[in-house]
Amino acid sequence: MNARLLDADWRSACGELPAGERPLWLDDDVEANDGIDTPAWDEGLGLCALEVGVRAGHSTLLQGVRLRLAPGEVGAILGPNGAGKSTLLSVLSGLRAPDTGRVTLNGLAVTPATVHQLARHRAVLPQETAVAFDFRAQDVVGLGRYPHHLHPSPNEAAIVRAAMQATGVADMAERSVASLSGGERARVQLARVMAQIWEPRPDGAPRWLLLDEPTAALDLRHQHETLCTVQRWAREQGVGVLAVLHDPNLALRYADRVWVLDGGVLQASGPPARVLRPALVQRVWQVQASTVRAVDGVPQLLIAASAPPLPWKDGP
Amino acid sequence: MNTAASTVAPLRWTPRRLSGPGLLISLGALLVCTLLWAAGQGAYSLPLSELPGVLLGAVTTAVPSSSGAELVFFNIRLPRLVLGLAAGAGLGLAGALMQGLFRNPLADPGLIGVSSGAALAAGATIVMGNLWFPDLPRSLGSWTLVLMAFGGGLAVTVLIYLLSRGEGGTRVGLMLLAGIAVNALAGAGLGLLSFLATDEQLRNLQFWLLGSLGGARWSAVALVGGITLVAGAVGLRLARPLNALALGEAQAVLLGVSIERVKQIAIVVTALAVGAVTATTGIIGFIGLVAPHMVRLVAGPDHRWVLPGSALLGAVLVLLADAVARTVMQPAELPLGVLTAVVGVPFFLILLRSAHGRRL
Repeated sequence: MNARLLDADWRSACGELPAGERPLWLDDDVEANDGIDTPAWDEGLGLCALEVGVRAGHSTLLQGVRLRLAPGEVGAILGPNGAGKSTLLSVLSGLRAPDTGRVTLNGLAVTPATVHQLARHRAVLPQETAVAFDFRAQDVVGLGRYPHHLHPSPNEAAIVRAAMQATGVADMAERSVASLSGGERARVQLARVMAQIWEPRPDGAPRWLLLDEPTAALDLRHQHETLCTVQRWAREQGVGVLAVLHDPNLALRYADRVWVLDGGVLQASGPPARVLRPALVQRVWQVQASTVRAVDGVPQLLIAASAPPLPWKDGP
Repeated sequence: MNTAASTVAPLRWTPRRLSGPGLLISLGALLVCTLLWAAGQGAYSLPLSELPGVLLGAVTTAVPSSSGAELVFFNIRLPRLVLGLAAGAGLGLAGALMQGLFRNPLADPGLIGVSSGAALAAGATIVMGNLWFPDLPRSLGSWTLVLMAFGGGLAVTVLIYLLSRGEGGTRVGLMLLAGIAVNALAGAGLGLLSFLATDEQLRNLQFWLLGSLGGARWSAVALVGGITLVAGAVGLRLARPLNALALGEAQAVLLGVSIERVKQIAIVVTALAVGAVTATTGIIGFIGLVAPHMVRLVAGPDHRWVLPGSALLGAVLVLLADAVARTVMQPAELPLGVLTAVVGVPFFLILLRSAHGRRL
């Protein structure tokens, strides 16, 4: 399949690129291949960010970020602290208007003005949620059904139960969220956002799940279980999943496509095995890495220790 | 080390909650009982057995009877009961709305300035009224106090609302702080007024600040009752959005809540209801803070039950407090604000210290 052709398709789906404002691509850049292993790109049925730029005062948080994700795919956004990952996610979810560029989802413009219309199309898991008042776990998951309260599904209670089973918190349904551990709370929140878009849309429009560090509070087993669950959900239900991750090895295992941000600028994007190479990891995170293969053949990164200067030794 | 103790899993006991409909039915029954009991209390004792006769008499005879019981009941007791009902319901509902909006169990309707604004305006009317409106007849004079207090409450609420407007809408945290600051300023104004007041004015002011249902006339009852009904009809529709808001403003927006509209409606409803109540009864403290807590402790935090439940419980508390206020020191009347605290606080503290309260 021809990459040029796909590129043209993308332009028609997202609108024309402004000339001369292309992001800086690294050697590892696989942008030319972007989209090759994607099924036929259906116009208007994707999550598209075009030359997104965000400023706050005099500092630039994001600049010229391009991203597109097809339904059924799992995407991962990686980058060091302060790279602009969460800012990008808030622009993609419609909470924040970009200063330049634009975002579309299923062909709909994503802006703070349209954010309400998107509630049945996409759900967003925040990094951390403090629930006010003493709600039980099942009540919190039930809050995810808010966008459907005017036209409820005949099996609302079953949806809440099924979502809680999917993230392994069904046996905590009656417990107060305040009494749960951090990891359990995180999985209750994941169940809530999954419940929000549990059923296929009647018009067949794809559903989208945006996750901000879904694995941050989880133990090793639940990190893998969680990403495995959303990956299978994406494959079997055609849900598009985009997650901010900190662990490149999780991205290598579960993501179909990764975007690496640093300093608000996209450094590379493409299939994880082609993007997350030692050279890029060294460049972006300043740690030495080597690629190895796990027993199931999936490439993983081994990180070598890199000692930062110690201020109590080298300082004045 | 005690190994036996360390192997015992920590006990996680979740207290049973009353179901939502169960809560509303219980509170409704409690309210009816309170109304019936309170109807008989007062300087003119009206035994429960006489009540059907009085009510029937009013329905069957077209000409108003002039029997003592009927006169007392329809001109003094009943308007007072209805005013207490409306005032308690309005304060309870407003408290639940504010706690939901601010996502803070310490919030009460006074936070948005409506009570302090009403108090300042009422104080100004009591102390300066003779200077400003010397020609008003006496009957109109008391309406001046009501309207001034109502207007003052709304004006201060609008001021706090405007102060908390920022880029991207109303900032709730800023509103909380602006409310505290403006309330303090209103308190200072009230202090100045009481410094300027004569002894009689000071007594009037103090009486007003402690609240009373003594001024219940059918005209005032109609004002408060009407506004409370409208506020209730609008306020109860905020239940689901307020539930979503428990997850935070960003998540509520992502779930499709029109957050700015919810804030505006909650503030307008609270300002109108509490403004009308405070203007006619003076300041009845504590109901707006305590009623929603009691309901949440018993039935959980779902606003679909907390909002109506707080209204019902608020009415019960005010009616109980007023019945006690007008009987314990007959023929004198204790200030209602004193009684709402005396009735509400011990019950509230017992609940807080109970198993339910541990999860607060």
